[in-house]
Amino acid sequence: MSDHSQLLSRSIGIIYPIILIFGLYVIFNGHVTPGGGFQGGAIIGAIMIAKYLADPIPFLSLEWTQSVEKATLLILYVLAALFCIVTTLQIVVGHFTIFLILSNTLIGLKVACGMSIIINRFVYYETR
Amino acid sequence: MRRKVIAFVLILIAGVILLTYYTPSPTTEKMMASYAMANAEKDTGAQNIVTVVYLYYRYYDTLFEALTLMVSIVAVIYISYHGGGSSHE
Repeated sequence: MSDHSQLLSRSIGIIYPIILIFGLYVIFNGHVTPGGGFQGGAIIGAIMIAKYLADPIPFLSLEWTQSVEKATLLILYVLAALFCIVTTLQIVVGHFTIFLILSNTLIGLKVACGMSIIINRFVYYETR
Repeated sequence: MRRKVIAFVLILIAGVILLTYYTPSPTTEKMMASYAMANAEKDTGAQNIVTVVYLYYRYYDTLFEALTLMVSIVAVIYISYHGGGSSHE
Protein backbone atom coordinates (compact mmCIF):
# COMPACT_ATOMS: atom_id res chain seq x y z
CA MET A 1 0.00 0.00 0.00
CA SER A 2 2.53 2.57 -1.15
CA ASP A 3 -0.05 4.97 -2.60
CA HIS A 4 -1.78 5.63 0.71
CA SER A 5 -3.64 8.85 1.21
CA GLN A 6 -1.84 11.65 3.01
CA LEU A 7 -5.11 12.97 4.43
CA LEU A 8 -6.01 9.60 5.90
CA SER A 9 -2.62 9.01 7.46
CA ARG A 10 -2.50 12.49 9.00
CA SER A 11 -5.98 12.27 10.50
CA ILE A 12 -5.37 8.77 11.82
CA GLY A 13 -2.13 9.97 13.38
CA ILE A 14 -4.20 12.45 15.37
CA ILE A 15 -6.95 9.96 16.20
CA TYR A 16 -5.06 6.96 17.46
CA PRO A 17 -3.92 8.24 20.85
CA ILE A 18 -7.60 8.94 21.43
CA ILE A 19 -8.48 5.37 20.48
CA LEU A 20 -5.84 4.13 22.93
CA ILE A 21 -7.18 6.29 25.74
CA PHE A 22 -10.73 5.19 24.99
CA GLY A 23 -9.68 1.53 25.05
CA LEU A 24 -7.90 1.97 28.38
CA TYR A 25 -10.94 3.79 29.76
CA VAL A 26 -13.21 0.92 28.71
CA ILE A 27 -10.87 -1.60 30.36
CA PHE A 28 -10.30 0.24 33.62
CA ASN A 29 -13.96 1.17 34.07
CA GLY A 30 -15.19 -2.29 33.12
CA HIS A 31 -16.57 -2.94 36.59
CA VAL A 32 -18.51 0.32 36.74
CA THR A 33 -19.70 1.12 33.23
CA PRO A 34 -20.53 -1.12 30.27
CA GLY A 35 -17.35 -2.56 28.81
CA GLY A 36 -14.54 -4.70 30.12
CA GLY A 37 -11.45 -6.55 29.07
CA PHE A 38 -12.67 -8.12 25.87
CA GLN A 39 -14.25 -4.95 24.51
CA GLY A 40 -11.38 -2.68 25.48
CA GLY A 41 -8.88 -5.15 24.06
CA ALA A 42 -10.71 -5.17 20.76
CA ILE A 43 -10.65 -1.35 20.70
CA ILE A 44 -6.90 -1.33 21.38
CA GLY A 45 -6.49 -3.99 18.68
CA ALA A 46 -8.16 -1.56 16.27
CA ILE A 47 -5.14 0.70 16.69
CA MET A 48 -3.19 -1.82 14.64
CA ILE A 49 -5.60 -1.32 11.72
CA ALA A 50 -5.31 2.45 12.11
CA LYS A 51 -1.53 2.16 12.21
CA TYR A 52 -1.56 0.07 9.05
CA LEU A 53 -3.72 2.63 7.24
CA ALA A 54 -1.53 5.51 8.37
CA ASP A 55 1.89 3.97 7.97
CA PRO A 56 2.12 0.41 6.63
CA ILE A 57 5.36 -0.72 8.25
CA PRO A 58 5.31 -3.61 10.76
CA PHE A 59 6.50 -2.36 14.14
CA LEU A 60 5.56 -5.24 16.43
CA SER A 61 7.25 -8.58 16.01
CA LEU A 62 4.88 -11.52 15.98
CA GLU A 63 7.02 -13.59 18.31
CA TRP A 64 7.19 -10.86 20.92
CA THR A 65 3.43 -10.24 20.80
CA GLN A 66 2.75 -13.93 21.09
CA SER A 67 5.05 -14.27 24.10
CA VAL A 68 3.28 -11.37 25.80
CA GLU A 69 -0.07 -13.00 25.10
CA LYS A 70 0.99 -16.35 26.52
CA ALA A 71 2.51 -14.71 29.60
CA THR A 72 -0.68 -12.74 30.15
CA LEU A 73 -2.78 -15.88 29.96
CA LEU A 74 -0.49 -17.59 32.48
CA ILE A 75 -0.71 -14.63 34.85
CA LEU A 76 -4.50 -14.68 34.46
CA TYR A 77 -4.60 -18.34 35.50
CA VAL A 78 -2.27 -17.73 38.43
CA LEU A 79 -4.42 -14.78 39.49
CA ALA A 80 -7.55 -16.96 39.34
CA ALA A 81 -5.91 -19.66 41.47
CA LEU A 82 -4.61 -17.07 43.92
CA PHE A 83 -8.04 -15.47 44.15
CA CYS A 84 -9.64 -18.86 44.86
CA ILE A 85 -7.14 -19.62 47.61
CA VAL A 86 -7.42 -16.18 49.17
CA THR A 87 -11.22 -16.16 49.23
CA THR A 88 -11.52 -19.76 50.41
CA LEU A 89 -9.13 -19.26 53.32
CA GLN A 90 -10.66 -15.82 53.94
CA ILE A 91 -7.25 -14.18 54.16
CA VAL A 92 -8.53 -11.06 52.47
CA VAL A 93 -12.21 -10.27 52.67
CA GLY A 94 -13.64 -7.82 50.19
CA HIS A 95 -11.36 -5.93 47.79
CA PHE A 96 -13.11 -7.41 44.79
CA THR A 97 -12.63 -4.22 42.84
CA ILE A 98 -8.86 -4.73 42.67
CA PHE A 99 -9.35 -8.26 41.44
CA LEU A 100 -11.91 -7.16 38.82
CA ILE A 101 -9.67 -4.36 37.53
CA LEU A 102 -6.61 -6.66 37.42
CA SER A 103 -8.51 -9.38 35.57
CA ASN A 104 -10.00 -6.89 33.14
CA THR A 105 -6.56 -5.40 32.48
CA LEU A 106 -4.98 -8.80 31.84
CA ILE A 107 -7.84 -9.89 29.60
CA GLY A 108 -7.67 -6.58 27.75
CA LEU A 109 -3.93 -6.93 27.17
CA LYS A 110 -4.40 -10.50 26.02
CA VAL A 111 -7.20 -9.70 23.59
CA ALA A 112 -5.30 -6.68 22.24
CA CYS A 113 -2.24 -8.87 21.62
CA GLY A 114 -4.39 -11.51 19.95
CA MET A 115 -6.11 -9.03 17.66
CA SER A 116 -2.80 -7.42 16.70
CA ILE A 117 -1.32 -10.84 15.92
CA ILE A 118 -4.21 -11.69 13.60
CA ILE A 119 -4.12 -8.31 11.87
CA ASN A 120 -0.32 -8.34 11.54
CA ARG A 121 -0.33 -11.87 10.25
CA PHE A 122 -2.92 -11.29 7.55
CA VAL A 123 -1.73 -7.84 6.55
CA TYR A 124 2.03 -8.25 6.45
CA TYR A 125 2.83 -11.93 6.13
CA GLU A 126 -0.01 -13.57 4.25
CA THR A 127 1.26 -13.71 0.69
CA ARG A 128 -1.49 -15.54 -1.14
CA MET B 1 -21.25 -34.98 -1.93
CA ARG B 2 -19.86 -37.62 0.43
CA ARG B 3 -18.41 -34.97 2.73
CA LYS B 4 -21.73 -33.13 2.78
CA VAL B 5 -23.51 -36.33 3.80
CA ILE B 6 -20.95 -36.92 6.57
CA ALA B 7 -21.34 -33.33 7.74
CA PHE B 8 -25.13 -33.66 7.74
CA VAL B 9 -24.98 -36.90 9.74
CA LEU B 10 -22.57 -35.32 12.25
CA ILE B 11 -24.79 -32.27 12.68
CA LEU B 12 -27.79 -34.59 13.14
CA ILE B 13 -25.96 -36.59 15.81
CA ALA B 14 -24.86 -33.41 17.56
CA GLY B 15 -28.42 -32.11 17.48
CA VAL B 16 -29.83 -35.34 18.89
CA ILE B 17 -27.26 -35.39 21.70
CA LEU B 18 -27.80 -31.74 22.53
CA LEU B 19 -31.58 -32.04 22.49
CA THR B 20 -31.50 -35.17 24.66
CA TYR B 21 -29.90 -33.31 27.53
CA TYR B 22 -31.68 -30.01 26.95
CA THR B 23 -34.42 -29.46 29.45
CA PRO B 24 -35.94 -26.02 29.08
CA SER B 25 -36.46 -24.57 32.52
CA PRO B 26 -37.38 -20.90 32.38
CA THR B 27 -37.79 -20.76 36.13
CA THR B 28 -34.15 -21.71 36.78
CA GLU B 29 -32.87 -19.21 34.24
CA LYS B 30 -35.06 -16.55 35.74
CA MET B 31 -33.80 -17.42 39.19
CA MET B 32 -30.19 -17.09 38.06
CA ALA B 33 -30.85 -13.76 36.39
CA SER B 34 -32.69 -12.31 39.35
CA TYR B 35 -30.04 -13.66 41.74
CA ALA B 36 -27.30 -11.93 39.75
CA MET B 37 -29.23 -8.70 39.59
CA ALA B 38 -30.06 -8.72 43.27
CA ASN B 39 -26.70 -9.77 44.67
CA ALA B 40 -24.04 -8.63 42.19
CA GLU B 41 -23.31 -5.31 43.82
CA LYS B 42 -23.57 -6.73 47.32
CA ASP B 43 -21.18 -9.62 46.55
CA THR B 44 -18.43 -7.72 44.79
CA GLY B 45 -19.10 -4.02 45.01
CA ALA B 46 -19.06 -3.59 41.23
CA GLN B 47 -21.93 -1.80 39.56
CA ASN B 48 -21.68 -3.53 36.20
CA ILE B 49 -23.53 -6.83 36.53
CA VAL B 50 -22.09 -8.20 33.29
CA THR B 51 -18.56 -7.87 34.66
CA VAL B 52 -19.58 -9.54 37.90
CA VAL B 53 -21.11 -12.44 35.95
CA TYR B 54 -18.09 -13.02 33.74
CA LEU B 55 -15.43 -12.38 36.37
CA TYR B 56 -17.09 -13.82 39.46
CA TYR B 57 -20.07 -16.09 38.88
CA ARG B 58 -18.77 -17.55 35.62
CA TYR B 59 -15.02 -17.16 35.93
CA TYR B 60 -14.19 -20.54 34.42
CA ASP B 61 -16.01 -19.49 31.25
CA THR B 62 -13.78 -16.44 30.99
CA LEU B 63 -10.59 -18.42 31.57
CA PHE B 64 -11.44 -20.97 28.92
CA GLU B 65 -12.66 -18.28 26.54
CA ALA B 66 -9.25 -16.63 26.83
CA LEU B 67 -7.62 -20.01 26.21
CA THR B 68 -9.84 -20.61 23.17
CA LEU B 69 -8.87 -17.22 21.78
CA MET B 70 -5.20 -18.05 22.20
CA VAL B 71 -5.56 -21.47 20.57
CA SER B 72 -7.37 -19.90 17.62
CA ILE B 73 -4.59 -17.35 17.22
CA VAL B 74 -1.97 -20.09 17.30
CA ALA B 75 -4.02 -21.87 14.63
CA VAL B 76 -4.12 -18.71 12.50
CA ILE B 77 -0.35 -18.35 12.76
CA TYR B 78 0.44 -21.94 11.86
CA ILE B 79 -2.20 -22.52 9.21
CA SER B 80 -2.16 -19.20 7.34
CA TYR B 81 -0.06 -19.21 4.21
CA HIS B 82 3.18 -17.30 4.11
CA GLY B 83 5.92 -17.08 1.57
CA GLY B 84 8.88 -17.25 3.89
CA GLY B 85 11.05 -14.17 4.12
CA SER B 86 11.00 -12.16 7.28
CA SER B 87 8.16 -14.03 8.97
CA HIS B 88 8.98 -16.72 11.45
CA GLU B 89 7.90 -20.38 11.30
